[in-house]
This record gives sequence, C-alpha cells and structure tokens, in this order.
Amino acid sequence: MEIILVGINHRTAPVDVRERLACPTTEVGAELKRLLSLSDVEEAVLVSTCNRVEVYCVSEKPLEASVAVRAFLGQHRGIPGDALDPHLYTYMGTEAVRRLFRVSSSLDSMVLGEPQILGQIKDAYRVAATHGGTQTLLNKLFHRAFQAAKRVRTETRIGAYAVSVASTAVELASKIFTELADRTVLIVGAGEMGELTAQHLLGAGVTKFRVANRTFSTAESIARRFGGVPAPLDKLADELLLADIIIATTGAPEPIITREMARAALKSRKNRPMFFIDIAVPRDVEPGVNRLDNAFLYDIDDLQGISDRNLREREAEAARAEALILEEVEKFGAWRATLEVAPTIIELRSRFEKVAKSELQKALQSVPEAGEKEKKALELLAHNIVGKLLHPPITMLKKCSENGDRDVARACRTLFCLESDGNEGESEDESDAEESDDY
Amino acid sequence: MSHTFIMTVLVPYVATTALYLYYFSAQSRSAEKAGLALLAVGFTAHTALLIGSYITLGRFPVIDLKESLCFFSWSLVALYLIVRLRTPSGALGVFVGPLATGFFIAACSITSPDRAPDARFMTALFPVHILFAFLGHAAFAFAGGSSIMYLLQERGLKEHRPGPFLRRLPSLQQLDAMNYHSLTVGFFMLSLGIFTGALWLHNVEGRFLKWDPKVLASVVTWLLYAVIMHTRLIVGWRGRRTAILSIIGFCCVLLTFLGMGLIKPGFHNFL
Repeated sequence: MEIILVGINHRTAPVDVRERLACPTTEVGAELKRLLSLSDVEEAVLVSTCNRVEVYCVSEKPLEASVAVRAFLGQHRGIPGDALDPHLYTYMGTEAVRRLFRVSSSLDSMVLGEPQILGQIKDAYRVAATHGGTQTLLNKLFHRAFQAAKRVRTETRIGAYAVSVASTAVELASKIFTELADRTVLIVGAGEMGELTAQHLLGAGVTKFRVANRTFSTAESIARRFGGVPAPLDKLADELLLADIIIATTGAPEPIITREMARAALKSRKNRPMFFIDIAVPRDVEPGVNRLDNAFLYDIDDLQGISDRNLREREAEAARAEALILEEVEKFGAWRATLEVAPTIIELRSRFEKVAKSELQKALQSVPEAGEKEKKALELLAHNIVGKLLHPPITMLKKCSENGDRDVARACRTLFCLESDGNEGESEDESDAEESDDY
Repeated sequence: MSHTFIMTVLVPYVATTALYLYYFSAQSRSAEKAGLALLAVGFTAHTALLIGSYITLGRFPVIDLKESLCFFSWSLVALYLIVRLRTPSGALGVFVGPLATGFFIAACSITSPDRAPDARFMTALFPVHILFAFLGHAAFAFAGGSSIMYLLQERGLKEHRPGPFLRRLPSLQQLDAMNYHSLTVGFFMLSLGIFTGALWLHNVEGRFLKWDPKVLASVVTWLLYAVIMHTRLIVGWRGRRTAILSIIGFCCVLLTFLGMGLIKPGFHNFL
C-alpha cells in the first residue's frame, strides 16, 4: 500500500490551467466517486482550491495508480494530456505525506502562513469521508496533517505578523488606539483597497463608520455596507473632527487633506490622536501631516514595506515549521510500520487460537460427563495459554517494526508457516487498527 | 536587618527583574505571571522587613538615606502591584522591576549612621507625611516610565519602521492613559505629602516652613507638576509633549530625592 499525491498548484501551473482543472465544491463528491472507480485507486481525497488541485490516494500499485489519476485529471475537464502533463507533479510515500503536512500548515500557500488552507483541507477530507473515499490510511494521514498544522500554528509565529496592506493597517491602528471598537473610521473616496481596509477594521470590532464622497449617492451606498453615516466631500473638515482613523482612497490629483486641515482638526480634538491611512495614488494626504504631534500618516508604500518585512519574518519562522513537519512525518512513518506488521500478528494469533480450539474440542469429547462449569474452565485455560504464550513475541514484533526492522516479521511468517503474503485479511485488521487509533 | 531577611527580599526581586526582562524580549506571558507572583512574594518579605525595623527601632524606619532607598523601593512595588491588579499589561513592570530592585540593592550596600533617638520622628504625623511623599514620588516614576515607553513607541510609529518595540509595548493611547493616571495620583499624593509635612513641622517645631534645600526642591517639583497638569488638562497637551515633561519631572524628583540631601545636610539630609 502506498500513498500517492498527484496535483497542480500555483507554483507549477498558471491560473488559466488551475481554473480549468478546479472542481466546484458541489461537484467534488461526484468527482470523487469517479476517482474511486479507477481500478487501482483504493482510497482518495480531492482537494480543490483556487491555488491547487490535488488528489491524495492510496493504492497497491502506486505507479499504475498515479498514471491513471494523471490521465483522469486531464480527461474529465477536457484538457489534452500533453497540455496538462508539464504542470502536474506526482509524489509517493513519505514525500507525499510531507507535502500534505506542508500544505495543511500553510507552508505551501501563496501567502505563507495564511490560515484558510487548513479549513479547506478539512472540508475536502470531510467530503471524502462521507463519500467513503477514506479508510485507515487516509483517515490517519489527514488527522495527522491537522495535528501537524496545529503544532506549526502554536509553536511557531508563522501566522503572527500581518502580511497584507489592510491587515498591517489594522495592526498599526491597534498600536495607536487601545480599543478599536470605540473608534470612528472615516472613509474618504471609493477605492477598492480602501474598502478592503475598512472591511478589516470592521472585522477588528470597529462599529462607527462615516463615509465622505464627492458623489453623495456613492457615499450612501458605501455607508450602507458598513452601517455608517454618509457625508458630502465639502464637509470633510467637519468630518475630520469626529474621525480617529481616516482611510483616504480618492482619485483626486491633489492632496485633499492638507496639513492645515489636520492641524485644525487635532486642535479642536484636544490632540486626541489621528491615524491617516492614505492608500490613494496620487496621495490624498499631505506628507507634512506626519510631522504633527499625535498624527500618524501611512501611505501605500509604507504599509507595503511593513507587510514585506513581516513576510520575511514569516519566512524565518517557516524554517522552524519545516523541522516540526519532518518530526510529524517520522511519527506517521512509525505508525505505518506497525500497520504493516498487523496482518502477521492477526494470522499468528488466529493460527494459535485454531489449534487451541480443536484441541479443546477433542478434550471435551473425551470427558462427556463434564458440566457447564468445567467446560467454561477448560475454555478459559486454553484461551489464557494462547494469550500468555503470544504476548512476548507480539510485543517484540510491534517494537521491531516501529524501528523499521522487517526481518523479524518475515522470520516469524516462515517459522509458523503463515503462508499468505500478508495482504489477505488486511482490510479487516486495518479497521481494527483504526478503532484503536481513532480520534 | 539580618542578612537572611534581606535575601528573602532580594532574591525574589532579582528573579522578578530577570523574568520581566525575559517576558519583554520573548513576549512570554507565563514569564510575566511568574514574575508577578515572585514580586508579590518579595513584597511580602519586604513589608515584613519594614515592620520588623519599625518594632526594633521604635520609629518609622525612613530617617537616613539607606532607609529611604529601601522604603522607596517598597513604595514602587506597592504601587505597581495595585496598578497591575487593575490593568492586564505587565509592560510597566519591565521598568518598575529593575528600578525597585536597583534601589533595594543600593539600600543594602550602604550603612546607616548611628543616630540618637529623636522624639520628632516618633509622632504619628511623620509616617503619614512619608507615606504620601513616597507614594507620590513612586507615581511620578510610573509617569516617567510610561513616558519613556510612549516616546519609543511613538518614534517607531512616526518613522514607519516598527522595530522590536512595536509589538512589545502597549498602544500609545494606553501609555498616555497610564501617564495621565500616574500624574494625577502623583500630584495628589505629593500635595498631601507637602501639606502633612508642614503640619508635622508645626507640631514639632511650631512653624510651617523651614527653608532647607529639600523643601525648596520639593516645592519646585510640585510647581513643575502643577504646570504639567495644567498643560494637560487646560491647554489639552497630550502624548509626546506631556511625555517629555513627565520625564523631566521625574528627573527633578530623583534630584530632589537623592541630590539635595547630599548637597547640604539639613534635617532632611537623609532624603
């Protein structure tokens, strides 16, 4: 049994390929069924997000299965095989495990450390589980991936620093003001970036929004979205008196907030601090505003610069995360090794039980006068002898396989003439293992 | 003060300082909590130490420089523990911890001169005067500390280069509020301290004023803080300007506290 990963992501394929291959959420289930109907695929999970389409599957014949999945991905979306092939990657075994752990921990994301990917992987797993796509191996694999992701998030600071312009603005605002919820935000203009920043502030708890715009109806429509109050642009000076955080995002060719306006506003606000977020190009706020006491002005380049620096800090944390991932991959490997030895253990036990049972029958036939009580005692005796005899070798078998030693299991099979090659009855004992290891 | 007794205060204080510095550099909340717990332990021992001295000496133990430094260290910790109970941030502890420990070590390293028992220091008003004056000074230390943090934070934000302090220090608004509360409490305490000091002097010597350098410096300090309060409350200054004034004010306090006593030994020569 081997774990196989076939897929594309934002590094290997341009968006026009990714969007053709992407699978709408509603169709993932049906797609999965088709995948599982491929002859060599035994378990499968399909992950489809805007940056990646990946199939994690389990097969007896990994090479055949990977070829089949590659062909499948191209066919059903109507992409000719040779057009898709250069973008597809295939990983097997430990490397496939490591890839999944990295993806779940957001080490492979376009924005390093972004938190959404884990939720998307969880969804993909849930869909596969409900469609019967996962059994022992993928169940365990995905649970371990979620565990790894959690460790990375709590033990490194990979998600700690803001890496977008909007979230950087919110982080800075929270270093100027204590309670963002009590602050008033003034949105000047109708830029997309400005609204995104306002959205982030809304998420951080801000409730009081005011919107100033040259076109009053635009102001009204933006204000409605944020539950705010609209105002015409010529009332800007009055609006400044009320605003703690000003998001400037107009298309005006000249600054619309001058140093004098800011100074006057600060004076009548009794110097309560003002935070100007100027995301407009050309700039809306005179740079001199930053030299006023209690006024803090950031333009788009300042914010971008900080985001970039934070991203570099995340990259430094990513190195630590990779080490954690390797640890988790190793742990998963150890678990798999115990899984491989399981069929031997089961067979060994059933062989012994069988002998005990037939000998018990013979013994009971020779003493027909034995009552219920005596029968029970004899049964227990036979069962206990088997259990006690098998306990040390089984413990040793498990231990050796955890350490990667497969010779002991092989020797055991030879010694006790366990004829089958170990695959027989595997699904049965896998479900046993799953029960004991379930989350 | 027995050697062992001093160690029961000194060891927790030094450990607290180390934990607070670690908390600040590694941003570890648990280090801050452990530091706070140790500070409380040290403070309890410190209080016991002062009560012990009171009993053996038969007077309030704040007569000479050694005793004053020891008591100022106690005032700083007492005020910090009160403030910390009311605010979730331990940032001020990074400033107060080393300061209080430093004063305590200074107190331990000098010896008290022999002094004949003086009836003037046995009156009930004397400890009241001392307590108000010292807590006032401690509050001004807090105002100074939060102002230093404010200036660091403000510079980072103004220069658009958020350095290592940005994430470690509280928000500007919070630091400004700390400064405001410290100034208010300090000013109130110092006023009461001067008032009760005058009353005490009247009781023991029959006059309200005695012009020694310490009294003069205290009045100047009081006037300076009166001006700071005025600019803050009436003129509407806040933030950077108030922070700078608060730091200047605290320098005056240190000068009054240590400097004046050293220049001319009057009856305040101990302070």
